[in-house]
Amino acid sequence: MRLRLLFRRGEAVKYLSHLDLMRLFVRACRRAGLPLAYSGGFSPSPAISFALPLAVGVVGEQELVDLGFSEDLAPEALLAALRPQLPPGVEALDAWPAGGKALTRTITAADYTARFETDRSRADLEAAIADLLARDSLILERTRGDKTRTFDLRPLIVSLELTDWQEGEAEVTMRLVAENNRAGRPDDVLAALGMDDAPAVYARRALHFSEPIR
Amino acid sequence: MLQPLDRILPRVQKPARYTGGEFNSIVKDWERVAVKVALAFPDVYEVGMSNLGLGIIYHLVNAREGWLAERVYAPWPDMEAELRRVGLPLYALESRRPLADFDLICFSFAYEQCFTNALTILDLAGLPLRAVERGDDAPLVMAGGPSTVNPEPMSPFVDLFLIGDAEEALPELLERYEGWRAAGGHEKVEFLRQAARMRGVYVPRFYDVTYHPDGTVAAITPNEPAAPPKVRRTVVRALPPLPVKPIVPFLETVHDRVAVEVMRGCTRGCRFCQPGMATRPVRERSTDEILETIDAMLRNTGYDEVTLLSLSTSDHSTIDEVATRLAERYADQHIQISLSSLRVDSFSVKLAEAVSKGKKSGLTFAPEAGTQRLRDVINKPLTEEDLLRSVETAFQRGWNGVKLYFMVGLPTETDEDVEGIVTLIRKVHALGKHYRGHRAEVRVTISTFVPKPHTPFQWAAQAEPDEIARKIKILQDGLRVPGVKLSWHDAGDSRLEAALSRGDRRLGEVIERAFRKGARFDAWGEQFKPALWDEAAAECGLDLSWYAYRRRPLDETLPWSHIDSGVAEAFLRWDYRRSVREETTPDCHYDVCSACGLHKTFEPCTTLFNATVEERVAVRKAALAAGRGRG
Repeated sequence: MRLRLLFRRGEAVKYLSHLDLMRLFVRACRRAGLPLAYSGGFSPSPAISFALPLAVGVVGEQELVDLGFSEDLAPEALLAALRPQLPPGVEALDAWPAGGKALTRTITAADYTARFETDRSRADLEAAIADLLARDSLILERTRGDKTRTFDLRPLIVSLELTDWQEGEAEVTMRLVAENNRAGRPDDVLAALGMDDAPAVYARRALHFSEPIR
Repeated sequence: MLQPLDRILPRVQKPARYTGGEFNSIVKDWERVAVKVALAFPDVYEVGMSNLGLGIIYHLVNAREGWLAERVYAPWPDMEAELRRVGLPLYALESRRPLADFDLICFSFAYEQCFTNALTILDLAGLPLRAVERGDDAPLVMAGGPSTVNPEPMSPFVDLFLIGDAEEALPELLERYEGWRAAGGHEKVEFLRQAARMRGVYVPRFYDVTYHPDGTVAAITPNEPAAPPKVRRTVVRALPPLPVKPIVPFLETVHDRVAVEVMRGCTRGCRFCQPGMATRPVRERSTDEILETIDAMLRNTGYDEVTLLSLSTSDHSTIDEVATRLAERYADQHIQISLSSLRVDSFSVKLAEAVSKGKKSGLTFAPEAGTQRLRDVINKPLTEEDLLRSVETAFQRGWNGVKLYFMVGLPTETDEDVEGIVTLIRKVHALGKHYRGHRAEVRVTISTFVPKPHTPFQWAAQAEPDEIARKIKILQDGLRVPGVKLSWHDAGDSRLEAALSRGDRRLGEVIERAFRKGARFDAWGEQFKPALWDEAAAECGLDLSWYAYRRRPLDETLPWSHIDSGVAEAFLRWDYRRSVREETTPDCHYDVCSACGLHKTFEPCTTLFNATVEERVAVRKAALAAGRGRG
């Protein structure tokens, strides 16, 4: 059986990688004595599946993971057993039985905020955003290892706006496409606004799906 | 508002190395603690978090209400550059306070090529590197760990070494420190004088070293009444219980599993092996303690892998019972069990099989040398038959591969010995093919022999790189066989290890200069810059090759001769001479006592020593009586 867990990844653990977070949940379940299901085969792996990987350095406010168990387990029991086993910064918010398709197949978009240091004016930033949104396409390159591929950032931006501005610091909020094999990254959007090197902090506020997740 | 770390962590690899917060890590209220210790491991997080000793000390110190221990690891060069760029001092992971705020910084030296990283840590803490240049308000800098059996090369930077087992000695030292501070103590040297009277404590500034014109050590003399002429390594009589809530790292570490030290010390007497000589006597944990510890650690960590550690796990008196019961207990729990350092025999294969549960990955043996003659020289007297029978059993029982460790550059080694490795591996591979067909794999790792202090080979020369390269070539040429994989370490890297491990105090200056020139992570192949070291040595009028490649006369005063490991120098000399005569020395676990020196201080050894002496006397008397009878 599968349970769906809603959790928060806070500041204290935001520098973990996707794999680190996966390991963290597996070990927490094992400490809690929860009957995690394992795939068959020569090297069994635990049945655990996140809706969308969270990049290193990004806080996740409303993250979702499906956990497979080999025995029946009530959502309340999962929460009660898991909470004492989570390291500071990871909060189990809610849990319910997972029905329907896998989260990775129904996810469509994610909302992010990026807060960054800048000496640019409010008007200047708003103009940059308007320019970016007015474009039809913006081809960027991404290098991973020794492979470089090009992709179009513009269609990945669903919405983008300046949500806070103070002397020296600003915040943008955006909704980015997050599908199985194409997902926008908030740091790419910041770079497209000309803020490549600005110190910035990121948070993912919400995930959006094509079908109800409960 | 952005936090200072948010300006730098997004710019470095693996930022989770620098954030702490792991499950089972301990964060105490800084204001309510009297003694604050920063445990510093001079290598990167993933390596440091795999160090068993530091984990023990972390929990040992934190177990006291009035003390705290936090961790710090060497920042990778990208993080070092970022810290320097923004002017942030190096901080400890738990409280994120600068290192300079701690009372003590306690280094663990696990190997010599981490010394420059220790200087990086001090430098990034904003502290002067030299002990005598740090004021009374600066933290006291201590060091312990395996490499401190020769503390000399790092002695200029360290206030106090604690040599040997720390479990009892460190709390005692911290109690004295706490008492001294509570009594209003301020001048460090006062405390160092008190501490110097303790067993295992070495305060380098209380010793003067003089040299002969040829550069060898003339004398090491205490210049302070409290300092003993010989510093004795501390030894716990019984292994204290292990902390059962180890920190669970977020990152994948080098040894990412539950690790339980089942036995400390070893009596096999391999003549190249420093831990084998310098961690005697043997102390075991009981079957029940091992099983209960593993059980608690698995529950407290959520790990799915366990490894039993010791220098020779097959020699633990109840290891078969331990293996069987572990296999039973964790049969259906997705828990993998492994045993390290197995003796080369069929018993070991059975042990490995007992815990393997069908998943037969990696069976490792270390014959170390290719011929019987050379195995006798190094006192690893296993026979070719032992090895072949063991691997045959393994292949029969379902292993597809075995891993074998050998050394080149051993004392007295000839090309014939190296060709012996080729012959032996070919025989092993033939057995593999016979039982496993084309799936048979023999992985061979060759390392370069590095002579180490406190071993019978401490006087031996390290083979020069040309010689090593030539011997590696013999192996390469002889082993171009599908199914045999050969790998080796670079001989250039081991010259630094050899020089630092048998170095004297003057190498401190070389280490500092190499550090200033940019030497970092010298154990990491791609980071190691040998030219910097040669430059640094030349500026000091020294030559690393002199330290590495020179054979020492047996009567030379060695730079570590004021450190008493428990094994007597006279025994090492006797054993070295036996080695040259190709004579082996028995393992006192199964045979007579050879009087290595432990019998003078460790009661169970005294008993065996006396029994051996009595037996010898009886034999001699009988012989004399028989002789008289004939006469």
